[in-house]
Amino acid sequence: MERQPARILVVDDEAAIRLTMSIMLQRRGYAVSSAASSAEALALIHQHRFEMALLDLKLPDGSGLDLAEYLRLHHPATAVLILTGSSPLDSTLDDGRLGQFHYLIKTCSPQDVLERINLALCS
Amino acid sequence: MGKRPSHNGVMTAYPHGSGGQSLTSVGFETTRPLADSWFEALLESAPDAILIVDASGAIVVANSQAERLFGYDRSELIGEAVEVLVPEAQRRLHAEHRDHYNNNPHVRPMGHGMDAELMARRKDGSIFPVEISLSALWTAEGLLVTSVIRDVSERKRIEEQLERQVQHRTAHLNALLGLSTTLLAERDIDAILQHALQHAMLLVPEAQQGAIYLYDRAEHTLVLRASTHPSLVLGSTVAVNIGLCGRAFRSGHIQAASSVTEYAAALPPMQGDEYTQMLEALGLNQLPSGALVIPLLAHNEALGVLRLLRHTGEGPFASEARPTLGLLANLTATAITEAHSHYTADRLTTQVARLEDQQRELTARLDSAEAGMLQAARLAAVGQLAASVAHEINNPLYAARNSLFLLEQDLPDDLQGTPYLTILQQELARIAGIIERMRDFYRPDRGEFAPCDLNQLLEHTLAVAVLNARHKAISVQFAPNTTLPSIQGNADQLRQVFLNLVINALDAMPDGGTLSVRTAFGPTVVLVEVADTGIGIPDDIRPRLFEPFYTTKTNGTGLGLSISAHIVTQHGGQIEVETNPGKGTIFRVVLPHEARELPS
Repeated sequence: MERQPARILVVDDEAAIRLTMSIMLQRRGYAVSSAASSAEALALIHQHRFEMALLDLKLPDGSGLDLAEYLRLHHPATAVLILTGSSPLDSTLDDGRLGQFHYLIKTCSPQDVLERINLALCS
Repeated sequence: MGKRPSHNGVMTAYPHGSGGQSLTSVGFETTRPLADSWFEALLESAPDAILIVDASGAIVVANSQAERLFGYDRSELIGEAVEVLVPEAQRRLHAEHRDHYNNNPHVRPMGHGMDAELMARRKDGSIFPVEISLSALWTAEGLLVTSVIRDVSERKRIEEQLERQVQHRTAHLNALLGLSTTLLAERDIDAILQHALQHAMLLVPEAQQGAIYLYDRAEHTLVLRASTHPSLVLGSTVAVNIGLCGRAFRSGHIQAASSVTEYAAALPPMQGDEYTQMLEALGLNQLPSGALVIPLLAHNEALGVLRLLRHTGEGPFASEARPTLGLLANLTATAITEAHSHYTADRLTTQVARLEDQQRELTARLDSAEAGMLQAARLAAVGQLAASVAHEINNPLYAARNSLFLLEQDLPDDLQGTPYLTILQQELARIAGIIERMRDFYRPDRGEFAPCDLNQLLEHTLAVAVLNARHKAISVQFAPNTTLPSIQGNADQLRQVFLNLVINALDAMPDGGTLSVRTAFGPTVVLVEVADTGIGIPDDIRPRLFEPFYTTKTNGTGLGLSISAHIVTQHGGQIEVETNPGKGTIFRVVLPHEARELPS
């Protein structure tokens, strides 16, 4: 029986990132949904079950951390990886919550991201 | 004898025409009534005592002034040896002088020869100074000597008094001169006033009380600063518009009172209590019978007054000493001014010196604080800027690198491996690297401190760097102190610091040289020294060495040393540089190894 591809949710307010991430992940064989805001993301989360969520930290209508906590609480099976453009010690983010989740800073290379995703889904 | 010339016609005429009659025998009972009366009138009208003495020294004529002067009746004198009128001790000498004169008679006016010391004796035995003129008369009876005798005791007395006054004045002036040296050398105003007051009291023995008041500009009163009398309380005041003191102070002229009435006249009209209060204010129990108030004038400005009072005694008060007292007062005023200006000058000098010290200290503190703050502020500003720049750049960079990643997959085979693609990937990666480093600025990471072995860190760093240096003629010397204590720190950040320093050192030696790294430690700190034998750092670059984004390297970011300094600061340490252009540079990193407190 053919194994269903893992479904990944990409949440980022920048279209270029949503697009490139989606294509990169699809080419790796993942099923990808993308959202530009927390509201869109929540709507998708209610419709589908995601193996993984890639969350931008700064969203127009909230923090990726809130989504991460929501997922941990209601969908603990969904792996969460937070991608942030800022320093982890940026005052708006340094509320101690980021350290509770896996995160990558956006200076990382595409290979790094794919590797981390692969690692997260395998474990 | 009548042929003899004479100064005095009458005198010469009389004996000549006496017709051989003896004057001794006739006295004034002359047989020539007219001539006799002339002669008598002449003798009696003379202001001085006149005696005529014969060659034997016997008195033949004496006038009434002679009687009065010597206290003898004429009858007692006539026929008596003239030596009876000479003090006993000088009688023999007088007789000799008389013989000598008789042998050589001549006119001798008063004030010549021994006159100044001639003394005469009265009947009562008292001695008095005289001046005597002598003239000779030749008569039939022989030589007669006329002597005119003047009592000069009054003149002598006046002379002596004058002499005394001159001596007195001279003494005053000498004393003043002496005092002036004391006063002008004295810097303490109270001491000056005491000296002056004591001296003034000496000058005026009849004064029973002395006081010096100085003007208090702020209170517009005269304040007692020195006194000879305990009833006068130092610090008590006298209004500048009352009494002799007020007058002297306002007018600048000496004020005097020779009686109680005169003194009271200077006071405003008063009744009962007012009167008592006034006396109290003046430090008096009763009005003085004599007062002298001298203004202390310096450059025509009255600084105060010197007041001398007499309570018992009457008559003019201290009139003789006034000129000297005036000088004394001026001298005192000058001394006060001098002392004051010296005091002011001293104080000013001290204040200026203190201000200069403070200024220097402040400048030095400011310089170092400013330098420190400037660097800290710059680092903080750069840190914040770096963080926000990182955020702004990271998103587009991330999207761009993802796109390139996809583009590479989409490229046809013949374009795979094109160098432009590689360059694009590398350069984007480099931008990411710069942003990573910029982000480090803003990462205190205190929570991540752990014990670090600096020797080990340096060894690893050098191993990496030496790869870089292999193609140059560079020798690396590592001299670790093997008992170096570990420090609390972030190993990754410290490694970055040492790597920066080592890379800089290698870059400074393009033609080769020696890289020396050593470690040492003291009671509280460890030291890491990275020295090169390179080109050194030019003076104009040194101040900007730790400035972010300042670089002299073509490919430098200008962040290496500024980040290093930031990291070292975050570790509670400091980084120093010692450079010798043309000979090399030493960087020293000092880090605390115990009792360490991080700056908050």
